[in-house]
Amino acid sequence: MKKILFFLIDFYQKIISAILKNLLGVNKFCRYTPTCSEYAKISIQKKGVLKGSYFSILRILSCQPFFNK
Amino acid sequence: MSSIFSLFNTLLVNPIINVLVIIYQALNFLRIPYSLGFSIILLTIVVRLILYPFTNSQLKASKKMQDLAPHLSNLKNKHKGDAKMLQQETMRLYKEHGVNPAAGCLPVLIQLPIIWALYSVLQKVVGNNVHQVVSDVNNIIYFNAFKLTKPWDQMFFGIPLGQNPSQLIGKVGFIILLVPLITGLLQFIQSKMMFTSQPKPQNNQNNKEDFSSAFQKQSLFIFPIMIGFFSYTFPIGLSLYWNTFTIFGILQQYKLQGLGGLNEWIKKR
Repeated sequence: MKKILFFLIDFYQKIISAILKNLLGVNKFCRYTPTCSEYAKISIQKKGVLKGSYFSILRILSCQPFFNK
Repeated sequence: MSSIFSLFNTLLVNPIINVLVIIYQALNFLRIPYSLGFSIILLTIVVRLILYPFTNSQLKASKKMQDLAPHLSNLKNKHKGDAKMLQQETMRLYKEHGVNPAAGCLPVLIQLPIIWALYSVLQKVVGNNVHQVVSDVNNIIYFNAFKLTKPWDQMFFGIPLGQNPSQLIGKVGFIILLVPLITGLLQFIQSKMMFTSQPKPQNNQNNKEDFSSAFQKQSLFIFPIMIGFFSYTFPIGLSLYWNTFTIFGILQQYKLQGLGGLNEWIKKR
């Protein structure tokens, strides 16, 4: 399971992300470092598939104007 | 899954079809020739105008972040291993330089379903069975007054909007290859304007990042070729939409930040 997720994230980072940037005409749109996808990798590695994915999704959802910490 | 599609249709596809038909009927009323083709162009412009503020704020933030990239990699080196500190310092840097960290990525992603919706609208509209298209479209129209009474003329300056270049090459000749070529070229111009080359960060970059940035660079060429190839197999009506979309994007980018990455090339000459 972990392997599949890592593969998907890798695929996203290397290919999808570049295509999306071209399609939408922006080249940098992360407010976070590390980026969400990198964060997802780390947190899945550290906390396991379920918890890690949960944190990653929370993080992606927090990337919008109405979020304040 | 099918309920997601029907929700997508009700919320985005159907309203867009209605707008398209209203534009079409207005152009017809004014007796403008090639009204279907011009409706597609106008519709795309309307959608782009609605997206204008989103794109604008995104372009601005993107530009600023690109300018800050060297500072960021400095921070990364300084706070290696301390993710929390790095995050705080990043936010501080953004604040100092007036990057609006509130924008985030979701406003950008809003554009995706809209691009997709326009695509499916046009896929429907330029269908080859014209009578079927008319009855399908009339089922969706909200106001009776705008319903189509006769099939629309799919010709646009002598080219049928419902056919693709690979079908037309026999009839129209090789000149039709200009469509995928121009589509790819415009896409390239937009991408090139977007990516200004950055001074390379000096020290220890690992291989993975190198691969990503290498692909990023290559995507500058790969993506336009891909889009050009798509437009070779997609109906002309869709290329008309996509090119209008891209030209609008190029103009918006130009207005905001000039030639961007294209500058390097123009200066060289």
